[in-house]
Amino acid sequence: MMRFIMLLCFAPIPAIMAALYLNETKFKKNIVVGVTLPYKARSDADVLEKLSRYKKESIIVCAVLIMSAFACLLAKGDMNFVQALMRWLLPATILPNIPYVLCNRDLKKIKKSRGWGFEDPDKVIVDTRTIPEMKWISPLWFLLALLISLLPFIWEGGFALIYIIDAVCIISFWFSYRWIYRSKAEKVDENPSLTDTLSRIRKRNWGRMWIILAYSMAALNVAVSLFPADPAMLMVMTLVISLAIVAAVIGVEMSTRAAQEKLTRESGKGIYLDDDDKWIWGLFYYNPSDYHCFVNDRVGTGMTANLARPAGKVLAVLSLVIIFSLPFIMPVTNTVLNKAPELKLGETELVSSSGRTEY
Amino acid sequence: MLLKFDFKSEVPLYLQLRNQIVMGIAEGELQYGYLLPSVRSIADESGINTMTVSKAYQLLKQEGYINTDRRRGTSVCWKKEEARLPEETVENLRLCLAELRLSGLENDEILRLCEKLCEEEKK
Repeated sequence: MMRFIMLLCFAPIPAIMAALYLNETKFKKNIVVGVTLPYKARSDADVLEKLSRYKKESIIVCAVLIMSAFACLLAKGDMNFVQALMRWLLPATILPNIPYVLCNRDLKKIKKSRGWGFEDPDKVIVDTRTIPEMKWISPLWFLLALLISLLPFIWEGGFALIYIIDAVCIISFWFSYRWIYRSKAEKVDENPSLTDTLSRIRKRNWGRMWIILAYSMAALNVAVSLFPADPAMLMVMTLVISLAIVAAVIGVEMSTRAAQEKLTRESGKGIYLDDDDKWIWGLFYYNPSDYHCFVNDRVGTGMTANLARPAGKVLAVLSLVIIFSLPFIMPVTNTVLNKAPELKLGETELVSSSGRTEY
Repeated sequence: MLLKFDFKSEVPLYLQLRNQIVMGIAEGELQYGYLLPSVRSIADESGINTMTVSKAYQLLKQEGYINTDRRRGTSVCWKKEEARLPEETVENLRLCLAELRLSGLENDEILRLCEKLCEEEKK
């Protein structure tokens, strides 16, 4: 049962990544698989052929990864199963990116050969008419979530640490919502009303995402406090809320992308914005002229780090360390937990120790 | 108004911003009371440091082109009827004249050049 619950948590990762990556094959804001192309590229035979190949490759990679996740069930013993799953996470995180990067490279080649790019990397033009008006969600909404998350202290104080961690998370969500967001106009072409609408949609969905996360944390605290003596229910509630969070966040992302796709369906016929030179493989933002550490993803609601800034570099290295340490987490934990118990005989006492516990 | 920033230019970014706002006021694009974007908005939009934008606004404020109100924000406060010739501008003009003479231009050629530039600006 435990194995299936873990598999349920991990196996959908490639499918979610594939769904997000396959969504990149639809033109949004004139961008497809991280490459900005003009309207006429949407009917170009070479572009369509590359996109079709990319879709096939993504689906194959996803299917292979899901099957290999199920193959982890063959491992003997729960520890070995978890260890296999942790090892599986590394390719599951990296492999779906490979078809994307290859397709991005091919599309850039086509773009160059057709003479579609017109970038001037050293100049930035700001249209003061399209700078979005900032109207933030009141911090009181986050405060309410914070109060709800602390309510369980009244009737059940056994999980104080969890309540406090979740409350800190809610505060950090407000901080992320308010201070990480870069209020940049979603400029696609010369149409100021389109820029305004796209900016508003992104801003609204950014707020929705953080509010969902804040109230999910509050719900998690309440759920945990309701079943203090029932570990199975605790696990089920945590799992259900975690899945609900993932579903809600992906839902918000997809709704932003759908709106971007719908609104920019006719864009790219005249002058359009092109900053592909600042995006390595269409995935990583590198712009030494940009002082900001965080920038908006070009498509969807998310943010990404500017790898040209020192903080961006630190974040990138940390992410790599976390990803590449995944296969080693379980062997290290296993070594500690499976260490043979030690017995030490003193003058008046016998001390037995197993791992960090002494008896 | 379109603000253009050239990151390869030798002119500092704060001066590029300051100069474009002054040009905007001179050309009538930014009139008295026109609300300028906030420091953070320009910084977010252009990728420039907020301190750089703030420096340009401080300079414009010192020069009397804009003023800042906590509630309203930053607006253009330059009025044609209250216009005065800043001493620093006269000094800069003297320097420009000296440079033009050193480049071999006579007084009448300098005047013709100024007239031509004024005509170009009107267009």
